Order: sequence, then C-alpha cells, then structure tokens
Amino acid sequence: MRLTNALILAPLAFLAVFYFYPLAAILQTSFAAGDARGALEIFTDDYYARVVLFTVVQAALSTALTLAAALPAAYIFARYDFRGASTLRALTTIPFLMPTIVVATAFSALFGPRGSVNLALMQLFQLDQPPIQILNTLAIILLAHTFYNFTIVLRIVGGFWANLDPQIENVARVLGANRARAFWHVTLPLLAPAIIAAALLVFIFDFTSFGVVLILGGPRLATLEVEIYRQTVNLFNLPIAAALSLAQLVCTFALTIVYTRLQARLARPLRLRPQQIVRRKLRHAREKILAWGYLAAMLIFLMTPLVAVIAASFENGFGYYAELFVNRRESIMFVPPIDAVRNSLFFAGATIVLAVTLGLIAAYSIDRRPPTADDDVLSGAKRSRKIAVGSQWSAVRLLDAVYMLPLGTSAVTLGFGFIIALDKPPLNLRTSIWLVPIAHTLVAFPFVVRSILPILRSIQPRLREAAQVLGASPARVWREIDLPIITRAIIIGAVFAFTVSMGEFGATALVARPELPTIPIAIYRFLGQPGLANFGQALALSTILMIVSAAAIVAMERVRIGEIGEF
Amino acid sequence: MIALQVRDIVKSFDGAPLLREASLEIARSEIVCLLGPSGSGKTTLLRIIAGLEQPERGEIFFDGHALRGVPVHQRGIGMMFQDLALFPHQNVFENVAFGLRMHATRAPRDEIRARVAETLELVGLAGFAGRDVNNLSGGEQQRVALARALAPRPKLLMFDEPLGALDRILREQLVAELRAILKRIGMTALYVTHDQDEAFAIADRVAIIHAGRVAQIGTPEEIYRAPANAFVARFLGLTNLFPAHLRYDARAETQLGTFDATTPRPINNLMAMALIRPDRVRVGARGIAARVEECTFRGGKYRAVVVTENGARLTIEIERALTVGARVGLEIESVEIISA
Repeated sequence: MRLTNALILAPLAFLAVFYFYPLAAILQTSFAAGDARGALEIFTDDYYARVVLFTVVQAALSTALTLAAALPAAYIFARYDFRGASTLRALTTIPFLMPTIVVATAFSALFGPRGSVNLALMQLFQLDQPPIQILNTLAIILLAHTFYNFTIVLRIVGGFWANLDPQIENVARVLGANRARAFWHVTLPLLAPAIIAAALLVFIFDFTSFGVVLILGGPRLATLEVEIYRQTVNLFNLPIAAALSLAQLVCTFALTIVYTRLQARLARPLRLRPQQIVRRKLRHAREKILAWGYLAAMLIFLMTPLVAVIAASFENGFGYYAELFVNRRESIMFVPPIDAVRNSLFFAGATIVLAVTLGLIAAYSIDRRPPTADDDVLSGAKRSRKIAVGSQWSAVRLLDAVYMLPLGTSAVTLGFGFIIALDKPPLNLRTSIWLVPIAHTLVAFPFVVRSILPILRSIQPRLREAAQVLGASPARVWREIDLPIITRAIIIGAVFAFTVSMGEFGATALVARPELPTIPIAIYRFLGQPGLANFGQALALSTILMIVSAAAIVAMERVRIGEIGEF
Repeated sequence: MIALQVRDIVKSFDGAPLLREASLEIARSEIVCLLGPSGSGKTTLLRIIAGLEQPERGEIFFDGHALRGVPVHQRGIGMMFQDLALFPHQNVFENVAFGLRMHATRAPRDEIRARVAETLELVGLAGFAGRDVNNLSGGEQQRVALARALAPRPKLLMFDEPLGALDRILREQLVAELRAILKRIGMTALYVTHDQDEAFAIADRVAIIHAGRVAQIGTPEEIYRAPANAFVARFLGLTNLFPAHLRYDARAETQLGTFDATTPRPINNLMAMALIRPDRVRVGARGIAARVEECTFRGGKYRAVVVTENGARLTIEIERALTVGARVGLEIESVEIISA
C-alpha cells in the first residue's frame, strides 16, 4: 500500500518540478528586475500594447472566419445523411492534427511568390508578377487559422446539433413560426452554448498560435507568443519575455476557466436523440447542389495546402529528399538533415514512455466515481458516508484540475519557463537531452490522462470483486480485468503522445539543443534560409512529418472505441 | 453437518451500526435464504463472508476453520452479484472459464474446456460458449453468471439478489430452475433477497434479518406457522396485530376483547402481541360489530378491510363479497400470542 501511495505522487512531483517550478521562475524574473525593465515596461510601452492588441484582433477575426466557414458544414453533417459522410468528416480532422510547422510550410508552398497558386495564375493570365501577395500579411494568418481549426467547430457544434431533437423545431413551426424564425428563436438558442464553446476553444488556439504567425507573419507581425520567443532568442531580454509570459499565462488561464465552465453547462439536460432519427437524405436538386457544392469547396480548401506540399516536394523528383542525407559543410544543420528524423523518433519514444507512465498513474489516482447512494446501508449511515465520499470526491476533482493545467499553458511559455528555471542549480538540465522529451511530456500528459480516464471510470468495481471472488489475486485482477479493458485507451494515449512530440514546435524551438534538431526545428531553419534548395528540403521534411502524423491518426482511429473518450 | 458458521458479526458504517451480532449456520448442501427489507444489512453480511468487507467483531468458520485473515481470492467461496458483473471484454466461454483458470494454474486446457461445456449444459446454455456476453438476453446473462460462479465448484455459493432485474414470470421460472440445479449438484448456498415468494421458493431454511440480527431461522413453513415476533409476522404480510396482555389464566386481553390464546412458542413477557390470521375470522350477524371499509377480489377469495367500533382495523379473507359501508359482525376463531 505504501508503494502505491508513493507511486501516486509521481505525476504530482513531475508537475511540481517541471511545471510549477518554471512558472514560479517566470513570476520571479518578471518582477525581479529593478531597473524599470520587465513587468512595468510592457504596460507603458506602446509597442507591447500593439502586440497584445494584434494578438486579440487576429484571434477574434480568425475565430469569426472559422465559424462562418464551418457552421454550414456542421449543419450539413448534422442533418443530412449522404454517402461518404463519415470519410469526409474524418478528412476534416487531418489539418487539425497536422503539426503547425507543416501547416505554415503548406501555406507558403501554396501562396508564396513561387507557390502553386501564383504560378498557375501567372501562366493562365500571362502575368510577370505573382498576383497574390499575402505572405507576411494578416490575411494568410487568418486563412491558416481557419484551415487549422475548421474541424473544432464542425465537431463540437455538429455533434451537438446532430443529437438535437428536430421535433422541437417542428413544434415551433406548428405554432406558427416560419423556418427562419423557428431557427432564430428555437434552434439557435439551443445551439448557442455549443457555438460559444467551440468559438472559445478556437479563440484560445488562435490566441496562443506560434508557428503559423512566426513563419507566415514575417518580421513585422507578432503575437504575444512570437514576441516572447523573439525577446528570448533574438534579443535575450529575459525580464521582458517573462513579463509577456505572465500576461500570456493570465489570459490563457482566464480563457480556459471560462471554457471549462461553459463546457459543464453544455451538459444541461436536453432530450437528445440518436442521430439516425435526426438525419435525412438530400432531396431536391437545389438541396443537392448547395450541399455538394459546399462540401467540394470545403474539401478543396482543407486538402489543397497539404497536397501542394507533397507535390512541390517532388518538383525535381527525389532531389530534395536525397539532399536530406548529405552533410554539407556550409549546412545550417551541422549534421545530415535526416538526423532530425532520428532525433524526433527518439524524443517521441521517450515522450511516449514518460507520458503514458505518468498519465496511467494519474488516471488511477483520480479514478473515483461521483458519490452515489450505496444499496444496502441504513439511511443514517448512508448520509454520513455520502459526506465522507463527498469530501474525497472534491479532492479528486482538484487533482483532476491540476493535471489539466498544462493544457491551458502555451507551449512557448512552457519552453521559456524551462530556459530560465532549469539552466542553473539546483536543477541544471541545459545540456541534457531529456529537456525536449520532458517538455513534450508536459504537453502530452493531459491528453493521455483524458484518453485513459473515461475508460477506467467505465469499469464497474463489481467486475474486480467478481474476479477476486473467483480466485484472482489483486495483481491478477489488474492483469485480467483492468489491463485488457484499458489497453486500447493506453494505445490511443501513446499515439497522442507520439503525435504531439513529433509536431511540437513552440517549446522545442526554445529548449532544443542546436545540434539535436527535431523535424519541425529543421524545417524552420530551412524556411529561414534563402534559396530554392533549402525550401525544397523544408518541403521534403514536411512531407515526411505529414505522412508520419497521418499514419498515427489512422492508427488511432482504428483502435478508438466507439464514441467514448473525450477527444 | 455444519459447513458455514457465522458468529456474532458486528459491522457499522461511519458509526451507525448495521450488523449487531448477526449469527447463522448453514449445513452442507443446504440452501439458506437471508430475507429482509432493504437496508437490513443482508448484502453486507454476504460481502463479509466473501471477504470483500471486514467485520469489526465476530468470526466466520468454514468446516471449522476460521476465515479471518484469508484474502477474498483464497476463500473458495463463489458469489453471484446483483448486477451480474459479467466481464464485458470476454465471451461466454472466457467468463465461465475464469475461475477455473485462477484456481488451477496448471489445469490442462482440455479439462477446462470440458468443465466449461459441462457447466454451460447444466445451466441450459449448451452451444453458447462462443457468444458475446453483451449481446445476450437478461435471462441468458443470468445463466452465464450462474455458470461462472458454479464452474470452480466453490465450497459455498452466495447469491446477492441475482434475479432482481428480471420480470416476475421469468424470475419465478428461474428460481425453480436454480433450486433444481443447486440440489442436483448438492451445492451449499446462501441466497439474499427481499422478496418473500422468492425466498420461500428457493430455500430449505429462511433466515429473517431484522435490526442487524437474524430474527428467526427455520423452514418456510415453520416461519409462516409460528412467526417469532411481530416484525417477522408483519414482514410476511400478517398485519392483524394487536397489543395483548397475557393473564395468569392464560387468557389474553386485547382491544378486541379477551380470548383463549395459543402460544406457538414460549413467551417470556406478559406484554405481547395478538396475531389474528385473515382466514380465522368469520363474518356473520353476531359478534364484534364492525364496518366494511374495502373489499377486493383476490382470485378465489375476497379480501376485506373491516374497522370495529373502537377503531381496530382487521384484514380478513372471506368466500363472499361484502358491500362497502355495510355493518357486519366478526367472530374470531383463534388468536395466537407472539412476542412484540
């Protein structure tokens, strides 16, 4: 028993050292500087006010654009039953699961001066100049964000809509409301919490967007996240970076709290219907043309950037790929670029082991049910027992919330915290190769907990008792009952950890050692260098990363158990 | 020969006593049923015998050996749970084979296969081995749970309201079948229910549990013929109970008058209860004046509620219907005196 208790402390200890300690260091650094640099400066200097303003404005615009683009899709998938619906929906998820660096590369491959769109237009209209020049503007950032978060709106709003009883709208129509009014007064209010929740989540992602803005925004545009990175890496102005991180932390925590509250309200008792009853076939020609036209546009928008990367990477056959294996003396990599693949795989492996082990222990430590009345206990005993279980339950809920905290912390902030906290005694890990997998574990850990916990909670305690009564020792009970039931959830958690680690850019950009780049870091370095060969190698590495991520997504979809699981 | 002996078990939850010195004995190959209202602690007693809960005081012996300190998985006691707790990730065969695999680590595969087949046949599920337990009907799932509990041949098999979720017709059929199966293999069994019909149908002896103790144990007939006290009588549906004062001439004074009374079991208190069985009251013109308050047809007989002039309320069973509101005379043929 004592061993089990010590084990339960492992995830907490990990968070204490690698999450709370760096956060404390950020807090300290931002207030420690006595020479008017730091915390106060960001409130008095116009420049930082503009950065904050730009961060908010671009996030708000991106969110609005994403909602406008994806709400019709939510409606079509929720209300109509058509061939290929599930495949199409699965395809919309791919952009979201792509590493940011791949998305950024894809948009430059598509809309850059030598991107496929411009080349095609120039050829078509005999132009000398590329007609679309949106690189380094707000427009391309908005496009990339919409591309990225489209599926969030589709999933959250569409999922909710699909289970909404259409009878309610029919009642409104019978009571004399026309279609538009029935939608406005009945359906929309019912959907509102789902729409707001989706919008808030998209806003959080856009607010903390790093890779897309860093690469597509050019030198003149910066969000808080990008500014923290530049202050740290280019200007080495740590107090300012710390103060910005603090601002970023306050914003993301506030947004996350609002989001969590809203999500709880989403669970209000509505009479939800199984989807088969709600969906119907597309009927009239007009309906068919509108729906299929929309779906075709959606598919083009979501797939073209990815296809463009692959196509461009093969522009000169396997030339760019071959170049990855060469270690040029003047190379910015110091090592053959293909080594980045090896590094990434190693870090991903370490992340899987760390995140799954800690996530599994954490899930077990909060695997308690909400208090329910027990069957065969006197009513008085029942009441006092409920209170005892109740206080234990609130401790569990607190722990649950603590485990989710890293989710509400931006990657660059995490990486920055590592830099200022873990490079000096008592904990000097600056040269340790473990810094990267530890950072990745911090990002992946909440996902792992969330994929295992619901399955673990679904195991009836009676099952374990039944196994015991049938002669299974406690260890055997775990092996025969728990393990087979949670294996799939563990695999899903592991694939999550793998995908996160392979694509992680924000934290890695700050903590990776120069001679041990990951794939995203290598891509970023290539994108920062002039010349077609460098861009070509970025495309080749992006293609490799894309294919690895896609393979992981497919693997995950294959083991997913029904609709359980919270992601 | 005594197989299980439960002696003075005490258990409370957060200070509220649930079991107060509960004792019970079961002979080999006997089926005993624990009968009591919900909240009376019967499930807890079962869980204590299985080792899933620890008693505060008291001992449990099996074949003379104390079970204290023996962990659940080494007690060799089988249990069928109220919610069945079939392993959802295993098919019928794997569920039934589970206990066999746990007990005999080196049991040859053929032997396990044979035992599972044999047990499935016993419960009427021959040919179900490969089926998914999640796609079985309620009755079939009950049988799988029974087969899983039976397969390792436990020394004692316990049932925690295993038929609670089924409808009445299916339940009656399964109770009869269950008793036949248990008797065929000579299983020692302890069965928990709150349903009197179910208890009487399955048990050799019934133990009625009240206020944390076994209030009475005996064959269904013994208990019905001579309930030990007013609680047992009420629980069996005998509700015509009136406080009685037992006089030295062995006559009993009650609200309804003074009667010659029989005492089915010795009474050590002069303040007792008079029990009047519904079929021991005759309705005519003479006797105690009463008014008919209710009369319903109960298949073959009528059941009426009558109220006497001094407010005593009696449920009676009669051959002919009575008009509600009519005035009648009651002649009480016999009165039994039991403990309050």
